Amino acid sequence: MSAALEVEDLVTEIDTEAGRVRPVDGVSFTLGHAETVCLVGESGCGKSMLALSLMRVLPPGARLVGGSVRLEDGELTALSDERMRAVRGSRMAMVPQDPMTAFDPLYAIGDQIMEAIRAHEKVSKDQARERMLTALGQVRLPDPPRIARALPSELSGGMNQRCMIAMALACDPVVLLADEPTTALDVTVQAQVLELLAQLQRRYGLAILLITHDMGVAARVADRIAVMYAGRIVEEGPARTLFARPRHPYTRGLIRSAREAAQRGRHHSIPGAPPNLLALPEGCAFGPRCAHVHEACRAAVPSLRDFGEARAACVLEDAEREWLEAARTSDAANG
Amino acid sequence: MSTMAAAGVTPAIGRARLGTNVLVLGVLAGLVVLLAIVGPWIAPHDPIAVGPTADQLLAPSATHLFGTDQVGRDLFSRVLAGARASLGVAFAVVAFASIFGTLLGLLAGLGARWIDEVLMRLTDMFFAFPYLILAMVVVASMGPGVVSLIIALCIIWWPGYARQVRGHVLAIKQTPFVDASRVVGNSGLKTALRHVLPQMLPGLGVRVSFDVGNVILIASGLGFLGLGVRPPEPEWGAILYEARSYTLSAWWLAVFPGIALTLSILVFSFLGDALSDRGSRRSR
Amino acid sequence: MAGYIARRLALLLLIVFSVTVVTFVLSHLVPGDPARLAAGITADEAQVEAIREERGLDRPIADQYWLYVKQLAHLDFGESIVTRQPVRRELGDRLTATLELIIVSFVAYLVIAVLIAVISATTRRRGVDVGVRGFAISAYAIPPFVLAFWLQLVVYFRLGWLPAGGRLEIQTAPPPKVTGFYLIDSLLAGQPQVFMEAVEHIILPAAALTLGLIAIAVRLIRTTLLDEFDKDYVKVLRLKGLSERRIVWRHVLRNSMVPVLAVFGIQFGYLLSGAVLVEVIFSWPGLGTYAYNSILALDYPPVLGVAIVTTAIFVLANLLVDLLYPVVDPRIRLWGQRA
Repeated sequence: MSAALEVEDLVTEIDTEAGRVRPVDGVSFTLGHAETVCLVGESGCGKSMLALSLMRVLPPGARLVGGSVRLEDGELTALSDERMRAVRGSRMAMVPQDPMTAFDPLYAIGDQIMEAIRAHEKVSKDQARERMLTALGQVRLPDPPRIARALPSELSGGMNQRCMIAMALACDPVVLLADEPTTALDVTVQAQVLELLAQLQRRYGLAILLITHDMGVAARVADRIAVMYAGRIVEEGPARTLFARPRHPYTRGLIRSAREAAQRGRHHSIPGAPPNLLALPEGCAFGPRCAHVHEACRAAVPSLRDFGEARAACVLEDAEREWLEAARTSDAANG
Repeated sequence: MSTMAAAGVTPAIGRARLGTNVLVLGVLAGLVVLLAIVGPWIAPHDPIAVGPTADQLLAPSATHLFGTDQVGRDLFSRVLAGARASLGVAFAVVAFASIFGTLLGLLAGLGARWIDEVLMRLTDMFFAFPYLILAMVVVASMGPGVVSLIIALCIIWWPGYARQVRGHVLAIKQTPFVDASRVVGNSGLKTALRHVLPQMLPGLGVRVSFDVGNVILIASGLGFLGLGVRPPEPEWGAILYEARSYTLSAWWLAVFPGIALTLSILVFSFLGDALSDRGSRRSR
Repeated sequence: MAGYIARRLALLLLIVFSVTVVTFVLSHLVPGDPARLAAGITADEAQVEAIREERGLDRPIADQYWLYVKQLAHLDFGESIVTRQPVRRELGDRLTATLELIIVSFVAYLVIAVLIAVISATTRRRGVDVGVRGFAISAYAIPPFVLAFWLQLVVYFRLGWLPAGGRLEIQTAPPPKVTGFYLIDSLLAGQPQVFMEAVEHIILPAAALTLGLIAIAVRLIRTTLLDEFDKDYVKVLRLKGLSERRIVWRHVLRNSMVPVLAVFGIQFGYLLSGAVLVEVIFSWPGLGTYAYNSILALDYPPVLGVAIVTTAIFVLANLLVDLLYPVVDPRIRLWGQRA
């Protein structure tokens, strides 16, 4: 069976006041049916841009300049605007980051969901209404008719998020892109939403690309993880493998942050600042912040190398790698 | 997305240089004012004295840049001299209205609740009244002339200032400045003058600038209706009114005063616009 | 809701009341003896006195005022000193003329301003956008009466495309009166030529009235639209796969309407006032020319009548605008809580 989504060498460029940058610079990954891939990285690494590029809803000044996006064997980059619109929201849907500002504040939730349905399928108003109410039920909202009548401002963040998910699923998409679906919510609600997504996936075979900056979230739901830095994938592989033996120093840093946050409630960030895309360093973009950087790192941008089931873009040799692992195990023992 | 912005990666948008806008327009406005003041002196011909019959209704030429009117007066000189009437009235009205309105607004904002209520109802009433008719009635009943024109327009304009100032005061009252001042022991008036007033000045400046343009507009309208400055003192609106009888024969009578009006209103409106842009950018 | 409207109407009465006081007082500052004016130049003392008594002009001002107010309560605006006709009748005719002009102007202004603003905000062609903004800035500065004058000069005197004034050609009889609006009445009476003529005559005055206002509205709407486009929900609408057209017209425009509605209300006031000058220039037989001629003749009952009527129109229009807010934005509640 073909994959749900296959992305190859995707490049997106954006014009800024200071010059042209590539928030997505040669990204490739595969998303299978009923699989959850988490795209992880700090804010500003290009994750959201990637999702927008897949949907081809780019801000002014931005454009796709290369690569391919195949949705169940159909090439999306080659589609006309009109055809892409037919795909958008129906076969591939996206749930955005902040649920409170995602809906049009002037229209009732139900109307907006029905609008999504009727934009893609020729159904009568009553049929659309039926489906809308079903969708609201699917996301475990109590009293769907009341919710349908409500304005977005009358519902909480968590409820709005569920409505967003309902709207995204209303047309039975193959792929669901979820951009930081839990960031704007509080902790208790976060768990509920993640659980909901997992359930929906089990039931409908939904392929989910979940974007997050929090490895903890990935730990909970990911089948595979792709780590993104400065517009590139720097490590990618099955979740278990990644957590057991993270190859890339950045991945290590992310995992450590998540552990510290969970254990001590403290937010540990990786030292150094996120990269300035206008002034990327020579070679590996993570170099300036890496504890193990050396000559080879600056020579050229490392490409993804296979490490068993996973791949990582790091030049560290196996010997040094084992040294790293030893260091890491002692960290774990101490911390 | 916002971190990208912080990293200087915002999409390219055109950004006007705001400081220079204000400067350029300020200079232009100053020029207009200057012209208004020295106008009558630098005018090539006498704007008031009736000219020889042979000079009546001449088309624009080298000697008469804008042509002449129906009694032989040079239009260019009249337009130049007319600036004084329009701008003089505008500045007088804005000065009085702004001061009076500001005082009342301060009173309403800082004083007792009932004073505020009374003021609000009063301004409501003034806003609802068709201002042109009010002006016409005042001018007509007091006899047309510069003084009645200024009084009529002041009556129309002060509520705007009062409302704006009151709004500002109420907003500022919420901030800690005023409380701190009062706690230290400053009287209400002192508080007003030292803390509240300076914060309102930019907003008032914008309004003043726009209003100069607006008053020029309304005053000329009244002049057009014969309810303004008395002849033979030249006034742009009045000249336009006279031009009505000569539309077929002397198009210049209608065109040049109109352009003068439009340009002076433009300058002050743009200035107000630029000032308001600068104000909002800064507070962002 | 009924309570809200009742309160607003009460406010209207209060305002009208104050308007009457002001105008009444002003009209009595007029030098000159209204009784004599009414009696005419040839009348002798006795006749003047008779008129003075008849009209109650010898009573103290406060009494005169109360008399006036009582009459007003019966919608009796008194008699014109000059024409001896009841002001009410003349007001009625003049009112419909002005209303027709204002309503047509306002509708045209709304439609044109929104269209231009949307085009300007959504077009990819920079030239169009810059052109529109340039127009917006310049049209706003031309005083309406200058504009009216120039339009008349160019379009009638030079080009002869449209007529110079009046509601119809002098020799054309108005259509049978149903509403008083020529545009409607002519259609109701099945008189298409009269309709076309009425249209021709209303174009220039309406244009003069609205061009400046359109300029302001276009700027505001355009800016608001552009601000809205940056918002999250627009991105989500696109992600839903909706067409750009639907997004703009059904979602973004409606979201932009609230600040714009406020401006519409204020501009209606300018429209009312500007109508005076435009009516004078185009010899439009409305409230404006009525007031103007009456003021010049020091004939005050009509002026008072016009002042009251225009104020009432203005306040009612504002009430209407306020009632529209909850329609545009369901989050706004003017009264009580939503069930």
